Parts: sequence; structure tokens; C-alpha cells
Amino acid sequence: MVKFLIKNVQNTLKIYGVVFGQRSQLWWDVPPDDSFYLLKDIYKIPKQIFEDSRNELIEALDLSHFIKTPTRQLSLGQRMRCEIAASLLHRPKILFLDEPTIGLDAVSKIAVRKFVKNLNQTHKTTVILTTHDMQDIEALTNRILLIGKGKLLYDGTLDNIRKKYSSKFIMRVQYEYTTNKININDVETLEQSEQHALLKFNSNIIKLQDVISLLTKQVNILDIQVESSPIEEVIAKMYLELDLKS
Amino acid sequence: MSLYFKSILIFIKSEFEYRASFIFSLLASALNTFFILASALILMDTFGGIGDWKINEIILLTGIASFGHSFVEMFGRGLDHFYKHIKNGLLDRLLVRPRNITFQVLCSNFEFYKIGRLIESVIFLIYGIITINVEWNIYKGVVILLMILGSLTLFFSIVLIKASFSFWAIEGMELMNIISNGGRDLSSYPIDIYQKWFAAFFTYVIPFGCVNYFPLLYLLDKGNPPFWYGLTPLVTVIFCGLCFMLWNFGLSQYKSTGS
Repeated sequence: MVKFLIKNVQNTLKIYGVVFGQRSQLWWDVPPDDSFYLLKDIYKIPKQIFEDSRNELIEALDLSHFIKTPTRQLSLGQRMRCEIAASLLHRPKILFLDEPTIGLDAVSKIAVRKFVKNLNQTHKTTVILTTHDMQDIEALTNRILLIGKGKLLYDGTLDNIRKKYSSKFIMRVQYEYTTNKININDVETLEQSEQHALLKFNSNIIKLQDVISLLTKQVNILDIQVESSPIEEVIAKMYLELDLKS
Repeated sequence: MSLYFKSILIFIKSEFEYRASFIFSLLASALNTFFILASALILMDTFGGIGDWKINEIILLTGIASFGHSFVEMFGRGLDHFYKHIKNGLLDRLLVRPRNITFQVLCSNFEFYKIGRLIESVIFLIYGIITINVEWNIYKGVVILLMILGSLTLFFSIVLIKASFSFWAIEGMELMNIISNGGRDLSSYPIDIYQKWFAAFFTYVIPFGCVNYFPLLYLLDKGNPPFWYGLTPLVTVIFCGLCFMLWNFGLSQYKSTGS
């Protein structure tokens, strides 16, 4: 019975792949490729599947020119790419990524994000991402679980959070030369010069399209940029609110 | 088993990455045991043995203790240095892999350079067995085999305790080193030369005396020993079982240190 349970647990573990940002999967002094072959045995991956997924990962993560270099000599970005490859060799159904982009340079960060997105689409791998990097969230996720003090605070989409918690918009407008003061009800003018203005409004009180249509009556618009509040602020605000409620 | 050898191969490869350091470590570890024995031999040469123990008998005691110790140092390094795995989070890694944890821990480290010490202890062992004055029969052959295996089991149990302790006290490892290194050194001599309480501790609590002193008394027929003195190394199996319980208990209690 116990033996059966253990086997069961061990088989369950095979459907997971885990990347800990801070805990390496790779053997430090040998090339990543050697680690890959050892993982093949640890996970008992059939030869054909292993070769296929190894080649696929080498190509997708662009590992070919440092796969034979000892891990300790790799840069952080190179190592992280190898870490991700190492966690995916056995083709897990669920991939846990714990801080995958922590400390990475811009190029690697974008490469990792692109890869994860692609993995999710081609292999239908469920990716569970824990991160402090809000750009990771914006780039990758469609569902967010917000956890604080061991409790689930929120479960839903990013857009929903946006709608609910970030109703404030900043609008940058450029227009043809005019000395008229912009004056719209419920819209705060933060800055204004002869050709440029910075406006702030709350979309719960006045809709974006209304702001624009009212604006066109007052100035000849050349260009408009609308920014919602940065995602960090939104999340921080959510934590504050949800925490107070509970 | 093939996975174990492949893991070992990785560590051998790693050690060859730092070749000079490997060679020096090899020499140092072999010299270490050599000097312990040499100092004992010089003393005995001056004082003519210890009690009624002859030099080759002492060499056999040393061989038994040092074989178990160096074998476990080489192959059980993963457990020996397990506290590092807790510190750096490797245990978390191992826990999410579909293999037995104890096995993976054993695969997680290997120190090839200890082979110097291991070979040396084998030489002591063989020299001791050939030169001691024993009328060999099958039972006595079994006894000497039990002594060797008992020594292995005992030192393995000690690294298990050491590993288990690191679940609770990561920094307290020196204490355990005293027991494993100290145990090897003190059981390189007949324990009847020590104070009573000291000898009792290393017989009844940590059974060092049971793997070489008592069975050797039987083999050499010193002081009319009963035949079961030859079977005392079997005690280490019980000891090891208890250590495994402690280890499993520690594992079940484990909570990650977080990142």
C-alpha cells in the first residue's frame, strides 16, 4: 500500500516541471548538456522523446552555442534558459515558474517571455508563474491569482482588475496652436501650453469617448495618448483594499 | 543503480575540472590517515604495544574503522553534506523529482579524491587480516566480513544522523563531525584503554566497540570471549534502523526555507 502510494506520488511528480529562479536544476561544474542527460535518467524519459524535446528546446531557447560550456561559466540569462529547458525535457503538463525573469537582462527577459507564451500555445502546457515583475504578468497571463497572507485574494483576469481598480486615466493631447483654455467638466487639467496638454479623468465618472468628443470641440487635435495607471499601482491598490476587507 | 553511476560520473568530471586541487586533496586525505597510524606506531614502538595488543592488531582495528569511514565519506557525501542542500534549497529540487529522496541525496554528491584514504584503509585491512595470529575457520571468516560491513553500516548511520540533525540545526554540524571523525580515531585503538564511561558510551550508545573491538577479541581469543562477541557487528543494523526512522521523521517535518 505504502509502496503503491509512493509510486503514485512519483508518477504524479512527472507531470510537473519546476523552475525555481534561485535553485538551480543544473550540475554546477559540468555543461548543461550533461545535466540534460542525467535528467533523462532521473525522469526515465524514453530515448526518442528525449532527443526530440532536447532538440526542440535547444532551438527554441537558442542554447546551441553554450550547451557544452560548464554551467558555472554561463551568464545568468544563459543559465536561466538552460534551467527552463531542463525543466521541460520530460514534457510536463504543468510548468511552475518561480521568478523566471529575476535579474535577467532585457534580451533574455523578452526571449523567456516569448518562449513561455509559445510553449503554452503549441504544447498546451499550463504555466503557473509566480513573479514580482509586473511586466511578466502583462506579457504572459490571462488569469491571475492574487495571494496575500496565505489567502486567495483575487482570481480573475487582468482586464477585470484594470476595469475594477484602475479607473484613472492620464491623457496627453497635442493640438494646433491655440490660446484657449481647455475646460471640460469632470476632467482635471494638469498642464497646458499652447500646443500641448495633460489631462486626468476618472472613467467611472466620464467616459473616454466623451472626453475626446468634448475635446475636439475646443481644440484641433493632432495626437492623443491615453495611459492607464501602471499595473504595479493597480496591484498595490488591490492588496490594500482586499486586505482591509478580510 | 545505473543512475547512481551516472551521477557519480558527473562528480568525477567536475573534480577533474579543477585538476590541481583534486591531486592535492587526494594526497592530503591519504596522508591524514597515514599520519594517524604513523603516530600510533611510533608511540607503540617506544612503549612496546598497548597493553597486550600487538601492532598488527592495532593496524587491523584502524583498517576496519577507517574503511567504513572513508567509504561512507566517499559515497555518502550527499548525506554528510546534506545541511548544504537545506541551506541552498537543493532539497526542494529533489522533492519535486519522481525518485526516492534518500537515493537522490546519495546521488547528489560524491568525493572521488577520498579514494586515496579508501585504498590506504584497504591496505591496512589486508595487512592486518594476513598477519594476525588467528586459526581461521568459516565462522571466523564470517566474523571478519561482519566487522567490515558493520563498520560501513555504522558510519552510514552516523551521516544519516548528521543529515537528520540538519533539519533542525543547520549550523551544529561540528558536533557530528566529532562523532564521525572522533569515532574513527578512537576506535582505531582497543577501547579497553579508555575510561569506563567513555568506553561504555562508544559501545552502548554509538556502537563503535561492536564493529571492531569485541569481534576482534573473539578472533584473537583474548580473555576467553564468548562466541557471540563475533556477532556484535549486527547491532549496527538496529542502530541504522533507528537512524533511518529519525531521518524519515526529519523529512516529514521539513519546511522549505523559502526563497
